[in-house]
Amino acid sequence: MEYISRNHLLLFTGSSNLKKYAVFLAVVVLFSCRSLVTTYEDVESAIYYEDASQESAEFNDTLKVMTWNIRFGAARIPFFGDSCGDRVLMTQAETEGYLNSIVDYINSTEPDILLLQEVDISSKRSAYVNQLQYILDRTHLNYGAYASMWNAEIIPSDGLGRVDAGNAVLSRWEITDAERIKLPLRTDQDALTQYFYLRRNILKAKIALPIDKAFYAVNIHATAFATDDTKQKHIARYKEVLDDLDLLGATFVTGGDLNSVPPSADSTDFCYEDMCNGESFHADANGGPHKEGSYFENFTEEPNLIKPFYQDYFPAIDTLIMNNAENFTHSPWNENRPINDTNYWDRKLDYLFTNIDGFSNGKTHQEAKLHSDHAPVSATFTFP
Amino acid sequence: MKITSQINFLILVVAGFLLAGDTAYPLENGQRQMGIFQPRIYGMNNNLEISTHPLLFFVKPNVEVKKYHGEYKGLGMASRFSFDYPTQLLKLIQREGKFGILAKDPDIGDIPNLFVFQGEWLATKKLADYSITVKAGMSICPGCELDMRHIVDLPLAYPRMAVYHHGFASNLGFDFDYIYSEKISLKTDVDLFIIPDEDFFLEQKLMFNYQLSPKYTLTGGIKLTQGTYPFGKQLDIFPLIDLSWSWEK
Repeated sequence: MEYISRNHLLLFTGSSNLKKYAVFLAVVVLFSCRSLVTTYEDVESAIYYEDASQESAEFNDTLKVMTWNIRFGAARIPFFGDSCGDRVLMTQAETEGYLNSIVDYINSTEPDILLLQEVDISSKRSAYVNQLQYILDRTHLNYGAYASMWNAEIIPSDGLGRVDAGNAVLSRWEITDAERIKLPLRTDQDALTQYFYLRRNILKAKIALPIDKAFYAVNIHATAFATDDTKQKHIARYKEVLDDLDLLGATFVTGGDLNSVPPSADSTDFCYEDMCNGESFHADANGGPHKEGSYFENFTEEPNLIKPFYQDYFPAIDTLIMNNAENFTHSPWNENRPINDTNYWDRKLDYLFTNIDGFSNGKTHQEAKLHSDHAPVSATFTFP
Repeated sequence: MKITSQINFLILVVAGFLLAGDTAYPLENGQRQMGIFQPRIYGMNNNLEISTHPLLFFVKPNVEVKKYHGEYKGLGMASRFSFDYPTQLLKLIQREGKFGILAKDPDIGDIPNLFVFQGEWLATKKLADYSITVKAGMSICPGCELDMRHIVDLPLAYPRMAVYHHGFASNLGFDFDYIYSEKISLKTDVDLFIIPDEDFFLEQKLMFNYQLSPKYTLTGGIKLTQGTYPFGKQLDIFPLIDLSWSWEK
């Protein structure tokens, strides 16, 4: 035995078949570097959820459908990213408190199919509360499908930490076939930012209704802050998915937060309305810069992105009234804004469509001011 | 530059956890040892060993002293005490915008002063071509009640930062060192972290050391961690690599 050095570097002579262990170790090392960010295939299965205590669901040829961007249960808190605030991480009590108001609202409106955007499943910012399961467990809705748009072990920015947030379809009836359809990434970001940034998707879920034709609910949350043509790509892919379903003879209800104003909207520029202290816009000779997410003419056809949906499908909120103030669905204000402000909502970004003429009672739920920075949109769908 | 520094410091902090080795026997007086990711270790007289991360020291003052007490019934016995002050490092990574690891949320507040003390007892049995070490220890952080939202929920970091919130934690460990040849040795260990009101965390390591020359040693291996984090259970495997060197004063 030859003693050469101390600590854990003791060296002796000996013999055994160490090569196998070295090869095994090398293989393990090779596969041990798990990515911090989850990336996705073009199309993959969504994640299924169920309410443990199922409630009976009777089908009578009508469905109430609702879409709602619930802002990860952050209600109107002055969050750092989207409302001139500085909050980053909610406590569990805060998260559950705000979620309870969302649950109460869902229970009061009783949708049969609910399309949700910005649902946190396991995010540090919302105290890791699984919001989809939380809502399923406390409402009449029995089944859920989830497609993550932001899944990272850590977002190394602003102390956000772990994030898993995305789109969800909730239904009284079983979801039998749900797909996450990948949308293109933004191209106006540096590589590092893009790597940790949102990976948006379309969530297509087949609902097992007791009818002959296949019935789908399709949910989208298109890019909000892109300044390139990413939004155009998102909307085009969305249209493609819907057209394919239509060609197959399926019936669908669809919607979400398209982050696009309706055709002929009064305004496409909300830079001043959304401006925070210390920010400055429109100072350049060419009219820029614009606030990301507040300007809807980044490319020529951006104001008309939603037009094909109104042309080819049936909206919950009719073309004649889609630009009326009572159908605005979004405002970025935080809790400091007086809720009796008559201009509380100032733009429409959320939509519902179907491919057969069956919508009635279309409604923008503007009374739900304090539960999110988006208002739900609902309609009753009647099968022919 | 500031961002690069933060990343480097984080690598140092994490790598120190990854590669740490344990034995009751200290370096001989006058011996020195250091690695790219490992602390600088000084062998002193009176069977003392002192170690610190020199670069990390400026943002996370840290020192560890090991005292070898001799052999009892063939077992080498040592006690080890360490101190570190992570406040500056945590303040450095608490920022808005890119590379903000901790949030500057007004609801959470600033990072308070955190003084962390750890005491451990180590016992090593040396045999012909291998040695076994067992250890038990506890960490205290007097008055620490750091908001849980400031605890980084990543493997390696979480069980070690939990003491900043709970003020107390304990640990148990088992190390096995095997000498294969003149140039190659193998090390495996298991560490258990016991945190109040939480499930325990388990870390296992398997490392190969290859002595490139009498002075330089190359280390490679894997570390496995498992535990229940605020978001649920998770198992991770990390690759390990380091170059260490030793010399005499």
